[in-house]
Amino acid sequence: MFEAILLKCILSLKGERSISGIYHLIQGKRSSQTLQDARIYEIDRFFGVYPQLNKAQVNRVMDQMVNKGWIEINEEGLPAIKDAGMNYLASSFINKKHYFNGMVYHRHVTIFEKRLRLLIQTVTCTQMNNLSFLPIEDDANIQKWVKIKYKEHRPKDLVKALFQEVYELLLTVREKEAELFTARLTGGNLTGRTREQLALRYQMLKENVDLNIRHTWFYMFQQVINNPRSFPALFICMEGLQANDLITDSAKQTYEWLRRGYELEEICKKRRLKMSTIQDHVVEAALVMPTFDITPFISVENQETIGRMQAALKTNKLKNLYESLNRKYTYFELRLVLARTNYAQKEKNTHGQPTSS
Amino acid sequence: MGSPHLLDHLKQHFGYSSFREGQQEIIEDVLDGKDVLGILPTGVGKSLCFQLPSLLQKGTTIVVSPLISLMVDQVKQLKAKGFKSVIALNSFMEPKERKAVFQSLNNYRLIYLSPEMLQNRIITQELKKLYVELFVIDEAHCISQWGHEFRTDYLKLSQATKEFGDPVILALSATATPEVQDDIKRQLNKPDMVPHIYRMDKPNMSFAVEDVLYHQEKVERIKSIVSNKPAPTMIYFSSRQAAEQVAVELTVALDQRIAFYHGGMENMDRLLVQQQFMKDELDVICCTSAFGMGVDKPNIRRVIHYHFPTQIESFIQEIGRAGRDGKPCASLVLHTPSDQVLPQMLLEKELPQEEDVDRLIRWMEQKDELQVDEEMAEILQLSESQWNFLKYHLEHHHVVSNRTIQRNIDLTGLRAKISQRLKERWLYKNRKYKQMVNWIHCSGCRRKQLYAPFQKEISKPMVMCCDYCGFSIDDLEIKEARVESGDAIENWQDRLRTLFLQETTYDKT
Repeated sequence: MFEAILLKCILSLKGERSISGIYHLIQGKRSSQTLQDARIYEIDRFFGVYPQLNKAQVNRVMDQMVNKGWIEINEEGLPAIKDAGMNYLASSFINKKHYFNGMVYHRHVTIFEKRLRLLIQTVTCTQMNNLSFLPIEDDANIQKWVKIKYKEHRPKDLVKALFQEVYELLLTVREKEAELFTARLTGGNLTGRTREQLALRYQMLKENVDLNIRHTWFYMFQQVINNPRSFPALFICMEGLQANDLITDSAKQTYEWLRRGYELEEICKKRRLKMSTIQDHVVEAALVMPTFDITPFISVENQETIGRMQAALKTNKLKNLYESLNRKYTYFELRLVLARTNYAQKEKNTHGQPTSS
Repeated sequence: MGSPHLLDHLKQHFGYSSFREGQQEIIEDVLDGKDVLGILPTGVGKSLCFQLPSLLQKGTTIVVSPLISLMVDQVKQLKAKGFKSVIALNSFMEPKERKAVFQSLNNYRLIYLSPEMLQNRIITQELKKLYVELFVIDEAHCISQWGHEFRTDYLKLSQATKEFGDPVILALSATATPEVQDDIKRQLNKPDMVPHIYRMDKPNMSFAVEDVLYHQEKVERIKSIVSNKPAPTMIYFSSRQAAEQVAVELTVALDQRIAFYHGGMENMDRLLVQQQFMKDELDVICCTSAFGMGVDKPNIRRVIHYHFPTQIESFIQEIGRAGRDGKPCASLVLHTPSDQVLPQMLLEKELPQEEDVDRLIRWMEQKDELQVDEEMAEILQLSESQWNFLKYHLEHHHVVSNRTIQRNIDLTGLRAKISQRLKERWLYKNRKYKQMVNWIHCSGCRRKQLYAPFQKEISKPMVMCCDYCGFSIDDLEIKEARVESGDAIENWQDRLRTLFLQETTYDKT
């Protein structure tokens, strides 16, 4: 799975981005460069799906894929996919139907996961009269949240309802995912297995253990949020997790100023930030908010001119675009237009959620 | 035994029906308002010596502890037992959280903090507002330059206690030679501390060292020992990588439940391994010294050292985790000639080199103030403990105060002084290391020689004594049957049902 995701990214990036770029994307680095890459190369579903990932892991697997003849890496360090890699990717479900939806949900899924893990441990342990269990989640906010929810519901009912809902959902995922997911849970008299233990038992990469489980969490999250009435107990863990499109808090603030009618220069002064930073925020808003209007920053005619050139060049490399348009437009304007055009395409391509596997 | 009054409280708050050796004597003296130096072997519940008084006294108890993970662990366990008025202050707290805690400090009976935090003005100002009745120094050997883990911030503790209006002091350690004990009293300026020193030898433990030629032989030997009779076993390593590798090898070769544990793992995974081991879901744990803090598992039968530590004190601490239930247990060191390399490398990481001192001096000649610690370590390419050593000496010689570098200082003289200290420290560390190595090669009763630096006499062992006296680890008597656990459940549906306490089969509707 990890390999397939890397291959998919390599393929989509057309040799225009480095391995670091791919790493940042999967890890979920919140820079506007990474966000923009995710959007315009249409791999935003993988954005932030693996927050614990480190660079060495990526390098190791990339090297392995070079040795297997799946990819090649040129002198500039840019990876490209080869036929064997294409074949492998074609055989993976990552290439067809998967439930990762990182750009939109990665932070929500993390919170959902933490809440549910601790909630399951809490209700099952207290049900057994074990009041002195050590919480598997350290996060004080999550603990506080679970404490409140615990008091609001009857633990006995919650145990039963959570079991039924989790069970039902796991029946609709791949067997391996259900096994890994269940083995990692802690509750009742059972302690979860570590990723290392699971990797050894199932003879798979540690990264694949993590990603398979993560995939199940994404699946669950979306099933629950789309069918709250079918999963009332799990829906408890959705509290406050409405899709919140703007990624960084800082960008959100800039957006608020814009909405109130402030000019970019004024926002710079108000927020004591550099113009380039404010521009990053605007691009970020254009990338993630379907309704964000970019015409105040670049006219419709100019948008069309840039769009036509981009279609002709078939590249997302800003520099090429910039030169081909005789340096008539700023990089800021180009980035805005790219964010928009690709957004429109994107909506068409992935319309409708994949159904259960 | 014990006054009925204290016993009632012990039962009521902790659920124990009797004190372990030393606890009651120390608690009584503390409640009596005496300063106490308590040396208790690992595993007899040192922390109870202040946890119980903190519940019985009006004022606040402050506990200084060197390791954040240790504090967090203790606080977690106390909370799990139902103590709510306890907190660990640490530098990782969010400003918002910190502010909220400061405003309600007087609601806490027990406050854990690191010695570094006592250097923070804002924090001491807040703490001074409290009525501090008991001031506890955990791991008090850190105060001594002759202790095995000298921590420079511990030297400032006696100043701190004055600021809190001279509360009762309780200094606790598991490993302090008589030399270190004297140093603790001197540094705290409390010559009249009441000593409560207890022997740390364990009559239920046998010792053995086995020489092998290659590392692979160690693994083979472990396989044969462990498969001979499954029982909770800890295997200590000095390297994370080796711990992982051997854990994998053992898992493949043996039909036993094996895991590894080290500081490089993610929080949740560390917690899971620890819990699995505690709940008898694991037979063997391959770990580094990161494991064990706050692990109070009664039935550990074997502690095997795949690598030996750099000093006897650490060794005693590590083997002290075995046999807390009083039943027979054993320590085994597996030794090959090439083992000397790793400890040497570890020692080198702890102390700076002469070149590092030069680099520091050159850097200081061009600057007015120091950067924060992490950056200094980065700039000078030093490990954390190497930088701490240098920083302490800069402050100690008044070359730096509050990060500002004083002008007109004799840098050459400073360099000579630091070099001198460095040499002494190296000699000291090497001496400790030699002591450890000598024990491994000793040709006499291992039990006697191991505890000789700490106590004059040893108790008569109730098990076979050591390999000199004819013991082999294969002779270890293990009576209990292995505890089976839910890990045996392979099928995910069954595991989920067990986890959710659902006995009946669930029909999908």
